Amino acid sequence: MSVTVKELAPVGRLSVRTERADAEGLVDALGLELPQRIGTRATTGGRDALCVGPDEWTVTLPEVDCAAVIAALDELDEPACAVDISHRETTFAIEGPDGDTLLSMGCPIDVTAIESGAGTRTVFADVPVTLWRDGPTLVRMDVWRSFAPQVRTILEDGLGELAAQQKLRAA
Amino acid sequence: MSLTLPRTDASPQHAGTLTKPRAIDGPVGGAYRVAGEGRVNRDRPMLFTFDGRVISALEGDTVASALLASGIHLLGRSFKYHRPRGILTAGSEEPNALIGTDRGPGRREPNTRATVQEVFEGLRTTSQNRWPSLRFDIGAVNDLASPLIGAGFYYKTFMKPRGFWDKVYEPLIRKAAGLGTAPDAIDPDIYTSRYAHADVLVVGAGAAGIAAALAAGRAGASVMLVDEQTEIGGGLLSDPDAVIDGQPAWNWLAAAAAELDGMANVTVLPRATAIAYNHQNMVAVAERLTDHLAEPPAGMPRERLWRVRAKQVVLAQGALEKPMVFAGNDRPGVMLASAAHTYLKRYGVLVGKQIIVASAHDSAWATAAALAEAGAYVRIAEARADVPGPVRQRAVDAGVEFDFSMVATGTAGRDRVYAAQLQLLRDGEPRGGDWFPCDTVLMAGGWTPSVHLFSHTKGKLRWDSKRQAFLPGECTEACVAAGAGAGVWGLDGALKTGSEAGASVASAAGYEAEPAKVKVQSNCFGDVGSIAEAAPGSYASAKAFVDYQNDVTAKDVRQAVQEGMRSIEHVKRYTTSGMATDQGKSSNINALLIAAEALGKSPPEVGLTTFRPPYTPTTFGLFANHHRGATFDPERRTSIDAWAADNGAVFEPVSQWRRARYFPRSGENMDAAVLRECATTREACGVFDASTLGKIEVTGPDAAEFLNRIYTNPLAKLPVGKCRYALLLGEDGYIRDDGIIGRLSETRFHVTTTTGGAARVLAMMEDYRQTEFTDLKVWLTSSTEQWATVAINGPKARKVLAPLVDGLDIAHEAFAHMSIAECAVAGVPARLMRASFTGECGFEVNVPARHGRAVWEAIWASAEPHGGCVYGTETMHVLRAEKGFIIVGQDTDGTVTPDDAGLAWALGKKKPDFVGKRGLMRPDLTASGRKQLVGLMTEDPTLRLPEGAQIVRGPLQPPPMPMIGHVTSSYRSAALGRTFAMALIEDGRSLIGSKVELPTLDGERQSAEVVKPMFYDAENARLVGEPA
Amino acid sequence: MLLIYCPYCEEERPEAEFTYAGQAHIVRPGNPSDMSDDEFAAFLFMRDNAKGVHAERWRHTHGCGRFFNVLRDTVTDKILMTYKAGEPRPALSTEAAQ
Ligand SMILES: [Zn+2]
Repeated sequence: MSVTVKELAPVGRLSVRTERADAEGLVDALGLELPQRIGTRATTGGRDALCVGPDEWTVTLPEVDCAAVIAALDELDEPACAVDISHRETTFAIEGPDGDTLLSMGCPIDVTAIESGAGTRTVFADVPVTLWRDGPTLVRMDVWRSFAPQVRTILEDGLGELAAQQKLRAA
Repeated sequence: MSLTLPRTDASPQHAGTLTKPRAIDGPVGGAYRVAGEGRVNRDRPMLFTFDGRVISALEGDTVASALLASGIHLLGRSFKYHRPRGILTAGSEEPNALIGTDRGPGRREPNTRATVQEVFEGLRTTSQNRWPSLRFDIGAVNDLASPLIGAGFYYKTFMKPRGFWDKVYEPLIRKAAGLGTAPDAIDPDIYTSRYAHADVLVVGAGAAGIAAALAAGRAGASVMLVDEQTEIGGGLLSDPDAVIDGQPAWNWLAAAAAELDGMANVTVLPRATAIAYNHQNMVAVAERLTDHLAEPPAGMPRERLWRVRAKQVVLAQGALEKPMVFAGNDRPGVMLASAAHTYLKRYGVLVGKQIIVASAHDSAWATAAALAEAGAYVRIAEARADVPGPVRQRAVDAGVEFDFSMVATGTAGRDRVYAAQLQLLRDGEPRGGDWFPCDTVLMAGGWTPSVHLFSHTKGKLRWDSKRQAFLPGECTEACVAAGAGAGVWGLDGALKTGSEAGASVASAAGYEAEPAKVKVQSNCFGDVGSIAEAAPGSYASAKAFVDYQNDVTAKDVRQAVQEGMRSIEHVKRYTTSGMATDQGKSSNINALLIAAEALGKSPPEVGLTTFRPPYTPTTFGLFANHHRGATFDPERRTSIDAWAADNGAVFEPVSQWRRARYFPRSGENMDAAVLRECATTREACGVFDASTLGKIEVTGPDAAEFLNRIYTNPLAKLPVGKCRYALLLGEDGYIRDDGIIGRLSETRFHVTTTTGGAARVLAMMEDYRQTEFTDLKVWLTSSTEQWATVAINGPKARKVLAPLVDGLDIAHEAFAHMSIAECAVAGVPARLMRASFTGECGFEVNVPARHGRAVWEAIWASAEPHGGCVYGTETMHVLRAEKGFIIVGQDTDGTVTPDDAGLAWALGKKKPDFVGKRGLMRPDLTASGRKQLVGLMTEDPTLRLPEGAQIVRGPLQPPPMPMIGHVTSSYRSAALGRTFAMALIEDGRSLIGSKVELPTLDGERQSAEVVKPMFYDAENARLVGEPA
Repeated sequence: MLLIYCPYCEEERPEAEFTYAGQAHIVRPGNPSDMSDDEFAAFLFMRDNAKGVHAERWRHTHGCGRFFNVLRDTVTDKILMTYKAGEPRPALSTEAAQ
C-alpha cells in the first residue's frame, strides 16, 4: 500500500483578516505577500499563507513568531488583525500515490483537482478541514483538535481497506 | 406441428403423467448441468448448503443457478399466502427466490436474492417464511383463506375493534406474514465509501454500456463503467452464439474487457449497483466487495458506497422481461423465458426437461430453440397469431412444437408445476384447451426497459404503444439512455446506440469522439419483436399473480379499481402492488396495464408509480458507511479529558462533547459524589474543566460596536481588562445564548458562548457581520479549541491560583470580579478571567490547548493541599442553580425573554438598537401572564422534583386542570441541606410566597412554595474569597 | 447532493460545504424600534412559499465562509444562479429559468 498518514509536529498558525490584502505595511508585518485569490497560496521563508476567504487567510509560521506578527498587525493603519489558532488545529500529512484515494473516502470535492502549492477549506467525513497540497502525492490536512480522533480513525480504517484490497489483488 | 386439443373438460388430475426427470450423467455441479454450455468453471467445483442439504456448485454459480442445476425449484414461501415459490428470474429483479444467508457469526442476512448471491465454498443458505419446514408449512392455510385476504384487506378488516389491533391482529400478522428474520447480532462488517468524479459514468455493462464506455474511453474522457453483475457483459453473457465483427460474442467481450482494462482513464466496477440518481449527475453506486468470498482478507469492507459525480451519464440498464399473468403463474417451475435462457447459456443449467413456453414476444422463440437444442422437450404457446419467418425457422429446426393464438391460463402442481392449461384465443377470449404435462413453464410477456434511474432524475417518461413500455423521454440531467433501456431491442441496436451515446457524452464533456461501427449477427432478441396487445391477465382468474413478493393478484388490482381507486398510486397503496422489496420491477407494468384496462383508459393516462431509490435492496451498513460505532458522530474531547478518564470521571455527552459529569470516590453514587463536590467547592475550592465553552475572538476597530449591537448589554464602553455577562437574543426577543465578554484591547474581545451554542452563535454573528452590519470593520474567529479552560471556584481559589500566576496581581482589589488579563499560569501564557458561575470567588484560566492538561495538573496539585476537589458538570449545574443562574436550553426553551428569566437588568435600555430589542416590544412579550423563572421549595425537603414536572395551582383540582408551568432544574443542595428547584410559571413572580401543586405520574401530588430564584448568598458576599 | 457555485470562490462546490440560511432580500430595518407591530411582524415572520423560483441565502460555511444569494426553482430543486450578498435579485428570463 502506497500511502502513509502522519500527524505532524505543531506549527504556529494564524488567522489573518483584512479587507485589503495589499495594505501598506502588511507585507513587512507578515513577512510575506498575501495571495488574493481564494485557494491560492504564497510561501516565503518558512511562512505559508493560504487565502481561504475574501478577507481571510491562514498563515503558518514558526510558533515563536506568532506573538510578534499579531502585535505588528495591530499597529497597522489599515485595519488588519491576526488571531492565534496554533493550538486549535492539528495536521495530518497524507503522503503517497494512494493519498488522493484515501482522501476520497471522506472528501466530496475532487481532491486531485487541487494543484500543488494550492489549498482549500472543505470537509472530510463531515468534519471541517483545510487541505494544503504540497506535491502531487503529498497533502496536509488541518483538523480542529477535538475532531482529529474521528478523522484519524476513518483514515486508519481507510488504510486498512487499501491494505486488504492489495492483499486481495495479490491473492 | 399444430396441437390437437383432445378434451376440453380435462382437469389437472387427468393430466398425463410426467416422466420423472432423467438424471443427466453430466459434469459435477448438478444433474441438470449441460455439457459444453455456460461460463461456470468446471475445474472449480464447490459445496454449499441449502436448509442443511449439501449442494454441488461450480465457480461462477449463483445460489439460484446451483439449486436449479440440482433440480431444486422450491425455494421459499410467499409473503401473505405462504404459497410455494421458486425462481422467477436470473437477476436482481427477483421477487420470489429470497433466502437467508449465513456467512458466519453476526453475518446472517435475510431476504438475499438467490439469483444474485454468488456461491462460495461453505456458504450456508436457508429458505424463509416457512414453519416448521419448507415443504410442510402451517401458514399455507392462508392460501385457502385467500378469498378473505384480498385487496384492501388490512384496511377493511383491522379497522375495528380498535383494541384488537395491538393484542390480536398485529401479532398474528407478524407471525403469519413476512419474509426472513432480522439478524440478531451487531453487524461485524466494515462498510466504506468513496467520492468519485468522472467525465462519463456508464450505468450497465451490457453490450450498450460497453460500447458507450469504449467510445468515451477511446476519446480520452475519464469513464466509470458500473454493473451490478459479477462480470461485465450483461445480456452478452447469455448470448454466446452471437457474432460481433466476425468474432464469437464472448471473444468480442473478452477483447472489449481487456481494452477497457488497459485504459488508464477507465474504471470498471463489477458487482456495483447504481442505486440512486441524484441531482446534478450524482449517482450512488453500491459495490459489493466480499459477499462472494469464502475468506475475505481482514480489514476488507463488505460494501462500498460510491458517490459518483459525473459530467455526463449514459444509462444502459437494459430491460426486464415481463411475466405473464395467469392462474398459477407463481408455482415453482414457472419462470421467465429469458431467465431459462441465461441459466442455460451462462450457467450451463437446463431448468427443465419438459418445457412449455407462454410467449408474447419473439425473444422467447430463440430461448425455446436453445432449450430444445440442449435436449429439452419444448412447446410454445404463442399468444400472437403469427411470428416472422426467421424467428419461427430456428425453432422449427430445433424441433420445438408451437401453436399460435394460444395462451397459458393455468398451472397445476404443488411444490413444482406438473401441468399447464393452454387455451386457444378466439375473439380475444380463451376457449377450450387442455392440460399439458410439463416440469417448467416459461413466460415471455415482452420487455420493460429499466427506467428506474432515469425516473429518479424526475425525467419524463413517454409511452411507446408498440413496445407496450414506458421509455425515457425528456431529460432533466445530462444523461443519455441507450440500448434496451431506451427501448432498442437487439444486440445490433444496443451496440450502435451505446457507441453513439458514448461518443456524444464524451463530446459534451469536451472530447473529440466518434462512435464505432460494429457488425452483428445474432439469433437472439431481434428488433422485430412485437408483443400481444391483450392486457396481461385480462383472462386470468384467481391466483394469477401480478406482484409475486407481496402476493397481489390481477383480481386484487381489478377489485381496487372497482372499489373506486382511480389513480395508479392509490391502486398501488390499496393492493400493495409494487411495494415489496423488489419495488415491482416485474409487476408494475402488468399492474398498470390491468388497471388501465379496468379503468378503460390508456396506460399513459393512468401513469406509472414513482420509482424511488435505492434501485435494489441496500444494506443499512452501506448508507452508514464510516458513520457507525466509534465514528458514528465525532465525540469531541478536551485536552483535559484524558486526565478525567484516568481519575475515574463518569462522563456525559453535551452536544458533541464528552464531558466529565462527576468524579466518584470509592463507594459513592452520583448523588453522594455531587453533594461532596458541591460542599467541597463552597467550603474550600473546586477545579472544573470548562474547555468546551464556545469561544469567539472578536477583533477589529468596530468590535465593541458590533458586540454592542449583537448582545443586549451595553458593551460599547466596556473598559479594557473588564468582563461582562451578556445575553444574546434572536430578533424575536427570545434568549438564544449567553456568555461572558472580556475586552483584551480596544480592538480585541474574548467572547464565550454556551457549549452547545458555539457554532450557532458564530454563524449568527457572521450573518450580521456580513449582511446587516456591513458598515462595521470587525472579524470573528472561532477560538474554542485554541484554549483549554480551567475554572477554579471557592473561597480558596485565589490561594490555589496565586502561586502559579506570573505577571498579574490577582488580589481581590487588584483583579476585581469580572476582570480579564493576560499573564502566565504555570509558566504558560494565559488569558485569566475573574468570573464565577458558582457564586464563589472564581477564576477561569485559558491556556493554549496543548498545555491544557499540564496546567490543569499544576492547578490540581495546588488545590489538593487546600482540601479542594475536582468537579464535573453535575456539580456545576447545582452550584449555578443555587445562585439562580440560568442554563440556556435548560431553563429557557426558545420562548423565554430576558424579563421572563429575571434578566431584564442585562438589557441596554438606552441603546437605540440591538438584536431582539424590537422583538421585546411585541404585544405578546409585554403582556401579563408570561411564564417567569422562579424558585420552588417542596414541602418535603428530601423530595427532588422531576425536571419537566407540570405545575398547577393548588389545591389539586379534578382533571383536566390548567397547567401553569413546569420545573426546569431540580437538585439536592449540600449548602441548603435540602432539595430545591427552578421553574417557569405563569406570572410566577406574583406567586412568590404561595403554594403550587405538582401532580405526579403515580396520581400523587407534591406541594411546593414559590420562592425567589436565589437560594444562596443573595448578597454575593462570597465572590470576594480568601486572600492569597 | 447539489453542486453550488460560490460567487466568492468562483467555483462549483458540493452541498456538504454549504448551509441553507433562509429567504434572501429580507433587509433588517435601520431602526426596528420605529416599526409598527404589523411591519415588524411582516419582517420577522412572513416568508414566501414560492412554487418556482425562490431567492434564498446559502453560506459557504466550510469554504470561504461567505453568505450569498441563490435563485432556486423549488419545483425542480435546480439552482438557477448565484450572486453575492448585497447584490439585487437579478431579473431572470424565462429561458434562464428553464
Ligand atoms: Zn466560497
